[in-house]
Amino acid sequence: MLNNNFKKKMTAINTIFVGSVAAMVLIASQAVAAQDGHLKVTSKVQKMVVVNKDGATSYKFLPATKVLPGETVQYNTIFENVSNKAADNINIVNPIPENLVYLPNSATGKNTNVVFSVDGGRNYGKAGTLRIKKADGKVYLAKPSDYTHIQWQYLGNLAPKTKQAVQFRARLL
Amino acid sequence: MKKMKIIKTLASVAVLTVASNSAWALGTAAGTDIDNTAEITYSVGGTPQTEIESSEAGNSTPGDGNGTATTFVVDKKVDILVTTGTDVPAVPGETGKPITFTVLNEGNSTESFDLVPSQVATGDDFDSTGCTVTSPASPVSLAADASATVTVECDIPAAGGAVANGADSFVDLEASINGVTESAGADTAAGVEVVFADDTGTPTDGANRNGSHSATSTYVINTADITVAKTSAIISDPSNGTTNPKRIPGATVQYSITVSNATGAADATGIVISDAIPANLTIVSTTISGGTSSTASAAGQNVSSAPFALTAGQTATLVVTATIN
Repeated sequence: MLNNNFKKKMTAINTIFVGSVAAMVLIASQAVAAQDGHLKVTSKVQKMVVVNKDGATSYKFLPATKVLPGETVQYNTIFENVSNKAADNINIVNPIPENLVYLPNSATGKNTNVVFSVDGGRNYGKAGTLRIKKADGKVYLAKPSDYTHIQWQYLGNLAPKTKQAVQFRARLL
Repeated sequence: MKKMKIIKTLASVAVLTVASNSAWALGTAAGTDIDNTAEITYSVGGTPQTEIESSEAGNSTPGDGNGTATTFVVDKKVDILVTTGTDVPAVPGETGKPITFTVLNEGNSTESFDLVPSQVATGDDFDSTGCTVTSPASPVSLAADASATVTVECDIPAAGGAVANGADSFVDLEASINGVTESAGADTAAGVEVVFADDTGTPTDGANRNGSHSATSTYVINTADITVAKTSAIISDPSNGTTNPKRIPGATVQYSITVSNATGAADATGIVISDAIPANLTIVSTTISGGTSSTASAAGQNVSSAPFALTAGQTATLVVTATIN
């Protein structure tokens, strides 16, 4: 699938620039860049289970292989600088998957500023400041369940060969 | 590519709100893939770089479509709830008396459920017999969040013994998942596992998480409860008039026959009072009142009423006036 998409792109570009050596060189350099980003991004999902034992509440994380409506999953997004140059101005955007509702205060990440969108990722704002227009035409303060996207704005540089993670939790409808 | 599509669909915020509400009521369908892709943008040396999408194993190839979604599959939640119908008043000896239950599929997939009625052995006054499910046919197929009213028909024993007014009989209906077993052993990442999530029902079900649930509906005997009383009185005699009359020839006597239907009992219809007045009396008049009674008549020494009805708590009185020969 991944390779097919890539091939398709290459084919399209080739057809346009066919016959030009200069263009071919340009494509070659793009192709190299395309395989060699500075960051490696990994998204993991786990099921979160509340364990009540001896009067204490704790959380257990299990592989997300058996998930039923009403249960909670946690997503971890890990971003690693695999290059030898520092990266900055890092923004991670995660659309909240369909059939999941974001759980309040669950989006966290070290050294990040977390903002949310209720309009499909066009505008972002802090939790508790977003407003949503409902079917009755009135504007309401948006609830966490109204969020469509989460954005983590990473503050500062990510040094070469280091990694960070952000996470959020959601409940399966 | 998928992300762009999502943004387009969310152009109207109002639409989003409605859609998420309806999804909540139903529960996400079993087998649904839940896909997640995060996207990162960044700069190196002040130059913005092409965005990179996430994958479960880690992706560092920039560009839209080069990541892969992190996916899990929604498993099958089997959950069934049987609820009691309203109490059914029954008359002794009735056959095929309908009694109802509601069966609700609380799971997230369309499933088929076996419906089995039974008698509850203890806790009630008597047992009905021959209970069968008459509607819908068992097994019944129910979509997620759908319910069915199940009608069971039982025979009510004849009156006598425990089968008296106000006595109750419990009938239990158990609905059990048909043809599905709970997944045992290790999970499979991409497969749809089956999890039984039902609660414990009445004793017929007896356990939670067994793919069954049951509830009990109740028949209550509610029959007519008729009592009859007959009194006689002397009204007058030819010598004393109405003052301390004596039962001498020519005296007027009255018989009162009182028929009552007890408070809380079922309506009684087709009641006929008949009485044979002793020889040596000549019937002068017959009157009847109460309930729907209207006429009473005499033929020779026999007095009878036309059929009438009494509701709970009503009384009808037939008065026969006669003279002693």
